[in-house]
Amino acid sequence: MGALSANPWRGVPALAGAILLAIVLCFAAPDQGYFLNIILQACTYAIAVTGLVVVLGYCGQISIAQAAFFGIGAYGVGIGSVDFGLNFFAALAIGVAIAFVLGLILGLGSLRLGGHYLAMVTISFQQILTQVLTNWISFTHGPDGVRNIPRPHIFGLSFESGHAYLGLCLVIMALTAFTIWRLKASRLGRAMQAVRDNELAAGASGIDTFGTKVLAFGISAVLGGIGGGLFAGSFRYISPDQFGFPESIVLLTMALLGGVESPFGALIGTLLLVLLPEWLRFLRQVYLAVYGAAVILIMVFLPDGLWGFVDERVRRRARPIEHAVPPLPLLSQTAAPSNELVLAVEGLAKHFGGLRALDGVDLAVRRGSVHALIGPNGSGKSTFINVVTGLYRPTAGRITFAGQDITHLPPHKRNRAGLARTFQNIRVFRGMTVLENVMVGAERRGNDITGHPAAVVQRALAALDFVEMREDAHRLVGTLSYGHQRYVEIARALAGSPETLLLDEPAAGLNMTEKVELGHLLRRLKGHGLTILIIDHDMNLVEQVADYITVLNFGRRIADGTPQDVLRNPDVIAAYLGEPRHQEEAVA
Amino acid sequence: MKLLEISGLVARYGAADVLKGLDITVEEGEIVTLLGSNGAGKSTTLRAISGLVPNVSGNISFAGKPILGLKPEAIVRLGISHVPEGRRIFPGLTVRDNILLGGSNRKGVSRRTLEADADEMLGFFTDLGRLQHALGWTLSGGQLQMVAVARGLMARPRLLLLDEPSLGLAPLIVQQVFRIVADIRARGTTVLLVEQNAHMALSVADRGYVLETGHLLVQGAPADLWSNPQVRAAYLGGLAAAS
Repeated sequence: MGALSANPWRGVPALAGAILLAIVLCFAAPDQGYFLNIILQACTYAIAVTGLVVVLGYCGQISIAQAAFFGIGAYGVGIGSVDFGLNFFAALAIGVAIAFVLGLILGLGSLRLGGHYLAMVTISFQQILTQVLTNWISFTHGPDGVRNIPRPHIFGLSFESGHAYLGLCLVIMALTAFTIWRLKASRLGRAMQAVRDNELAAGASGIDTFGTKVLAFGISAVLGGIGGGLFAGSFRYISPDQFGFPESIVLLTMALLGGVESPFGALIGTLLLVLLPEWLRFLRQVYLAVYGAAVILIMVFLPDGLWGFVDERVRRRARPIEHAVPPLPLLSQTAAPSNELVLAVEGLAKHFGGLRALDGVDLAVRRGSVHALIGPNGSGKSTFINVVTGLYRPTAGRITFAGQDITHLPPHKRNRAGLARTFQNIRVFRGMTVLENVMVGAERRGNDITGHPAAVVQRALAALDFVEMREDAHRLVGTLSYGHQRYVEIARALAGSPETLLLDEPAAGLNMTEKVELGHLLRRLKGHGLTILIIDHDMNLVEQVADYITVLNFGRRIADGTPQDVLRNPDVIAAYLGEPRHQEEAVA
Repeated sequence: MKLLEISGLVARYGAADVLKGLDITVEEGEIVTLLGSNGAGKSTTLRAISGLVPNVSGNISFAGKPILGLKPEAIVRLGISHVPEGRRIFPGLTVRDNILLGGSNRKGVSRRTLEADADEMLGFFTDLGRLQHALGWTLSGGQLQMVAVARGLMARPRLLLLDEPSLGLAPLIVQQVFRIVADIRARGTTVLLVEQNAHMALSVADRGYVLETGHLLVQGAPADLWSNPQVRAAYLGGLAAAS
């Protein structure tokens, strides 16, 4: 279950084996009849359910319209080959292309909507498609459906017989499962999972979150379309009632039952839900009730699905750590310290209704310096970072980064320009391992190693070395303590070789020795030429690392200058420090 | 009198033991602090006392009564209130309502008494008085932390479990919080405090325990812990911070 995608042949032998097995099995199967139909149904459904693995399992976006895309693929083959006399595969390609475009359009809805609102949009889409299939009689044949759909012939090969057609479906299913399994450990797959686990942090790590979601919907629709097209050839007859809302629910149940985070879960779930009613038929009148109860019990006791249950036990095995991989030097892009301004903020204001969280703040960060931003709770420090990194739109003001006006750029473009950050209330990708979290950071567009999978792993390991977390590389990040999750966040930011790093309370939750170590870490980073803007309440740390300090209170700047001056400023003592500095240590 | 007695406490998350046989006692009226590095098991100890850790074994008794295996709500009713790490505030409720909710375990107490207690809390944390009608989500991180502490105190517990109350607070507010911790004890509440800010914690505590990867490293009076070179080096910032 490698987290690493560096090996281009990963899983290929297993795929070859699966294809061979499929070919053997299809000749063992009956050439026609009820049993063959059941297997064909399971096989074509499984391809569509794999689509749900992408959109829901990987990307975390709920779609209750998979039967609609299944129907579009089916009608593409049906109408294309019967009414227009196209080759089966040409008709399938047209159906899949239409499904892809409509999938992208449905994905556009995720720009403004999430959660159950997005789910409702997908349900509406499903209902509209059912109406179109039923009522556009001149094109779709309406409720009568499309009959006598041919099976494909290509290059002299005929898939007319049950054996051959089943073989075709099984091979496509194996290819689909393989591709989607590989997708999970690819850059795009990690981006999807990052969006699922924490959209804000994904954007701040350079991922185009909206584009990723739209693409996930598109891929899901393609798989729905392929499954549907093969389904049309399986039964040679399709009608609108096979692609309605209840079928979308069935497909969703299959995905959740099998385990939505893996294509193997999709296969298991589909097979089980197709076969279970057959096995239970001997129960006669009560069989539907038993079927329903079985599904509910599996859901309750195995919330991650059947495959999720298996996978969790596999994960527990200790995995080797890549000691052999030589770390790639960090921070290869940073420049020598200078007096040049790297981040310049002028007149920045952010109002939430009547609340003036920021009220005209100026701040200038010099290249290679450590600049601290301090102030009482609620004085606007985190709002400042959120506006600078693009999570909030400013009410007024201008932000310039490395000579470029970034005031109106979205978060991922600011990250790609070299502006990385950590969050006050830790935002890690909880469903992913420590290494995968950091790889997301390393893969930002604009990093010098993008597109070299092996280098991405090396850079991620180097970043973990930097924060001394390599031993935990394969742990799920959610199992780490609070302080260690902070280090993962810092490593994720560092792996992208940023120009400037914004740290929002990195010392919170660390004990005093760990704070001293963090101080050393920050000085090492500064030694490499990284520019740092840090927010923290620990004055020992701030004094230890900062070259400049800016103090905010009620959204305004009340002091600015060197630590010696600022920490003795009476206004700062009154508003923030409470007691003059260096008295506290006398306690010790 | 021993208010809380923990012996041989073992806690497990997944495959790993987080606590490996921990013994801790807290006398009535004491402030006891748990120190240690990240992942040492400090928060897990508090969560185990509150009944929030599923896989635990050993003994925990409160006022002479074994409480291990009781449900969290039953433990709260016995008089143990837990202020968790990381500010679990209801975002859609006002500050005042969030604080009032902390008193929901107190059966048979009039609304007026609860309101008066809430006023007292808002007086304690002067910043919150100004914000009492603000919704939870509009607060800054430090303000949320203050609401969480105030909510925990509303339960009028015999034993208050505080998990990193100073996390993310400005120095001025940290000083306030520790003054309040001392006030809480002066009013008769026993406090078990997990804290990374060892300076502050040891300045108010009567005794301290230092944990290391699930077991006890050393325990004693604040002065002894301060002068213990092993503890200083590992958890108190070493000599570098003291100079």
